[in-house]
Amino acid sequence: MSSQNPVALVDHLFRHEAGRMVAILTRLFGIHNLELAEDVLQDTLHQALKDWSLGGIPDNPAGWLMVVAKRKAINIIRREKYLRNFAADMDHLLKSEWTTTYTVDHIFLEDEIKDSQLRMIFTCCHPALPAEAQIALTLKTLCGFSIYEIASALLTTESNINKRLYRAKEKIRQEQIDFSVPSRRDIFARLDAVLLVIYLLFNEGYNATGDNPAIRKDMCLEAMRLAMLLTEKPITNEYPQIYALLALMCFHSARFDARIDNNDCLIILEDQDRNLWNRELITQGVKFLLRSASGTMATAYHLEAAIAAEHCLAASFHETNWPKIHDYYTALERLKPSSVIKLNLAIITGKKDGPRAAITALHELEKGKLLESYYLFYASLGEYYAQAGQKPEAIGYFKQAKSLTKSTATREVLERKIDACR
Amino acid sequence: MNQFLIIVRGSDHAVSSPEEMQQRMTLYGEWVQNVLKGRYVTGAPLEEADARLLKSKTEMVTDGPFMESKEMISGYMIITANDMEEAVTLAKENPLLGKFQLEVRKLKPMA
Repeated sequence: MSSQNPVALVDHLFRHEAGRMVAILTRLFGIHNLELAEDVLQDTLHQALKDWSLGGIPDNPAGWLMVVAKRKAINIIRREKYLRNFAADMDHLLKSEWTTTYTVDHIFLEDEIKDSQLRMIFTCCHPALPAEAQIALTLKTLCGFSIYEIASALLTTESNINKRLYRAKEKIRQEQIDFSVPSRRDIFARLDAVLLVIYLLFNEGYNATGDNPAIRKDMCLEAMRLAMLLTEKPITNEYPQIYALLALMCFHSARFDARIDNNDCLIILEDQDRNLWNRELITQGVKFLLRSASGTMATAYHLEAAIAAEHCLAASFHETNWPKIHDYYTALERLKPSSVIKLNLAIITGKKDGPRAAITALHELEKGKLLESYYLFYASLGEYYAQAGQKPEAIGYFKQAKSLTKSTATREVLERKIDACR
Repeated sequence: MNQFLIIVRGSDHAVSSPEEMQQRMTLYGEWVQNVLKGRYVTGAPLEEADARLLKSKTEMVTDGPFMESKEMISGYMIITANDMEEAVTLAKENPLLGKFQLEVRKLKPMA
């Protein structure tokens, strides 16, 4: 224990160690005993809080937590070996007094910890679970979020999250979902599901829809951390789309702080102070983007990353290479036809060919009726009518957009736009 | 400089999330680092499960700390300070206060 100079704690140490500990404990106990793993974790954290706040923070807090979790795991295994079955592939080893400690020690090795986390990622993102359960389970078990934090990150109630988690665990038991990394044959499709969860996590965090900016930012960081985990093991690190997704997240994160002013209001791309963009993250993003440019497949992540890169690398808003971005969006629309991408395409058309062209494209989209409850559609119409000098129309559309979003930050931006038209 | 013993009474170590724990430990670290500034001598948590009270060579009460949990001693720490006033001022900044009671006692110099 260091008494004179307690070491400062690494950011989010407990959250990240919680994720690692639950993964290892689940590896030992089996996924059917996920609750037991969570109990041991809780118990370990509880003990750390007690011991550290009275005796000082240990020199190696992460190591301390692991040692205590391991000791508790061994105790549980000895105590419950006649009552439960543990992980099928090592149940007999754990239950024989001769091999318990050896087997547990082995699973606590650094490389095995990564392996356990990878198993956890594939289990949480198993296609048999509904998408919203995958996200909640990932935040809980891999990212160490509390129920409250998950609820405020996903804009729902704690009881809702509890229900989702409960059902997810039931489903895992019913379907006898394996705690494993899929075989080479299946990994491709399963990896898609994992990347989608990471992508959704990031989007939830990035788009200002909640009222708790700190938690939302954490969620973005967690998404990046999970993607990084995939790059650390040979079985997954060869897939280019992982790097494309990482690049995409780096480019967006680089603008994280520049997007929000002192009053927590959103600042639109055009008005952002580009000096506030995080150069380091942009450089990192470019590296990932280069790394992703292998193989023959351009995924949606590749295209979205390329678009984000164009924005990040443009010296100013007016110097943005709109024709190039337009090309990327056209390709993206072909790959993943969606009305939101069509909307973006219409917006870019406006940057490239002027507000009239955008207004025509947007009204064309209106016929599809798919965007009629999407605030950004009306905000874009408002924006281009304002640019074309038709202020009454602009105000009408901005008001319609405002009625469709719950985000305080977004509503304030729209309010300012309405004022500017008057 | 004198030494002061801070006795920590209570056992409220409940924690709702890893992040809350991070915050509590960060506060504690700041107390030792920024408030005490090198005046922390030692400290330790006490085991909860096992305690013996000896009354004489033959008479022993064995069942735990046998007190109400809010009176239970969770641990102690020793700090240095000029006088009682200062020791209390320092202890008041201890983030455990609120969840725990702190008893501050001056150690008699034995030299």
